[in-house]
Amino acid sequence: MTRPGSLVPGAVLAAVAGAAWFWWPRSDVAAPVVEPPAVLPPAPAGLVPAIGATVPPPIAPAAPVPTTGLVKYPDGSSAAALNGVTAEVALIWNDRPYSPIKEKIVDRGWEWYVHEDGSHSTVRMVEVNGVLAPVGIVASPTEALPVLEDLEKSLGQQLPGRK
Amino acid sequence: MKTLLCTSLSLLCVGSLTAQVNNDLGFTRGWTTSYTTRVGANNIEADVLLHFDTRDYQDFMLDPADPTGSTYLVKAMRFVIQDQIGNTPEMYSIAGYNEDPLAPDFPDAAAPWFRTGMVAMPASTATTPVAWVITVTLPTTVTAVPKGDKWFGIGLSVPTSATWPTDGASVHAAYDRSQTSTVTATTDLAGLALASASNSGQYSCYVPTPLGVPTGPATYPGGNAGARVNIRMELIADVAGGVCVTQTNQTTYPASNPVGTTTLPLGGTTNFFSGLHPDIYDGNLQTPPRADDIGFVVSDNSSPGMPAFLMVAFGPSPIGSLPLSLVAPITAHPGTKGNVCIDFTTAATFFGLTDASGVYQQMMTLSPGARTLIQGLSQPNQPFDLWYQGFVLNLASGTGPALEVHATGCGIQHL
Repeated sequence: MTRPGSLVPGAVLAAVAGAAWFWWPRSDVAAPVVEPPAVLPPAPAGLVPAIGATVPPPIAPAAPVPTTGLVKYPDGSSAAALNGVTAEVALIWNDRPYSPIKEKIVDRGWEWYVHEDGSHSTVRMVEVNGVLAPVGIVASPTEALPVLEDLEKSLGQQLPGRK
Repeated sequence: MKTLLCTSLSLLCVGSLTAQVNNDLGFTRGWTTSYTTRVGANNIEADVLLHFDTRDYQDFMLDPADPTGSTYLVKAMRFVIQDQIGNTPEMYSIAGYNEDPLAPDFPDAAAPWFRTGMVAMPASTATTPVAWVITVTLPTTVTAVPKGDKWFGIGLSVPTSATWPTDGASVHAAYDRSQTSTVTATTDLAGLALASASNSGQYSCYVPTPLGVPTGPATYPGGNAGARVNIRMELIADVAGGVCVTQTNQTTYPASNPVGTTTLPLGGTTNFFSGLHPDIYDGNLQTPPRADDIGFVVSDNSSPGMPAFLMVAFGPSPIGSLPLSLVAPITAHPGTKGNVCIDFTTAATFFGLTDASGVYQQMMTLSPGARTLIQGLSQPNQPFDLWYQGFVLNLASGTGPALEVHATGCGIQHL
């Protein structure tokens, strides 16, 4: 390996900087796109009170709408959270492309989504340092490997002690 | 040189709005698994752990929210777990440990960083072994801790229906190889420097957890050649990943060959054996002789097709590890991450572009003279160390007064 002089990195950096500056599409710098607010549909005619009629005050809901948890997947889709989780959990996917949900199953008290490639995903409140918190799990089938029994036996020889 | 670095970076005066999240750090990018193992905790409940040693990696998982660059934060862990009898349900947990302040290179069983309760493996009707790649997304209640040596691993329960290995959960791992081994399985013969690693080069250990309570000290299985274990463990964090990589001619460890893969453009292994301890001067006297090529892999999933550069030096930063935005103020963009931990005053620098996945792999082929020189400088317990650190310039969108740069941690290859 050669060790170039200290000016080389700076010089090349400068060259890269110049190129980046030259190539940079400045017209791309635009104001943030603001989505228009959703337009609510007009109220049905039958609910519009006649002029002069007595309008009863609206009745407030008796109880708050229950919070529904959500599992968010890397393709941007989402599904209802499982196992009673009420939080929103963005799952970090496995080392393969995302595969859509095929079905939901329950196994030994655990709810799972089963995906088309055989992967399973779930969220569940699990104790972390003694406190319940939403944990996300993705499991994808892979090849099983052998156990090297002779090697396992040799592992019985432990280091004599701490360093 | 510090001024020069600042000046150079200042010329790259563009910004970005792209957030960097959930990036695989790269420890398993170049990987062949050897066996499934319980790391010696065969019929007890235990956390089997992989040691991430500051001897090898520094500042590789910094919490982006910490402006001082002195804490680590992990978002997820990925590993492979196997059940010897698929239809006898096994449970597992996951854990992270800090270093025991009273016992260097041992996990602190008295105060783990985090430990989860037991979770289930997916259902199976198989009466034979089944294996799953698992990614566990950690909750936000797992908070940052001071950086330093860390251990990550899996809590394995006692086998349910029979003793190990008839039944029980285990984890996939790579094993090293002795010079004279005739084992045909995929194992990795590392360079001589592996013996200088802590615990005689044994990177995996277990902490017994009777009734779910970690009970130290950890036990490292014997670190003799052929019995060293590298648990397959990937870490995911909101930082740019950077790992050492080695290309070898071993037929017994295919991942180390210079054959590109979907995760590693030029091939090679990123494991803790040859990946961190290449055999560049055929210290193992193999036939055919080894003359490994060495390098570094930078990964940044938020920055595909972006300029990247790699610094290579012989030691750490002479001013200590400091946040990049402090060392080079022009990088004080909100999206800038990482510290400068390498000796930037003497470093050689390589340039490239990340690919469509945000990966940049830089390999170096040493001359025969350089190999001989390094062999002469390496001592049995003090190998010749080469430091690497990568930087990715995120030019994804917009321009601005500050440059967004993602620094990897420092990887240290022991030659």
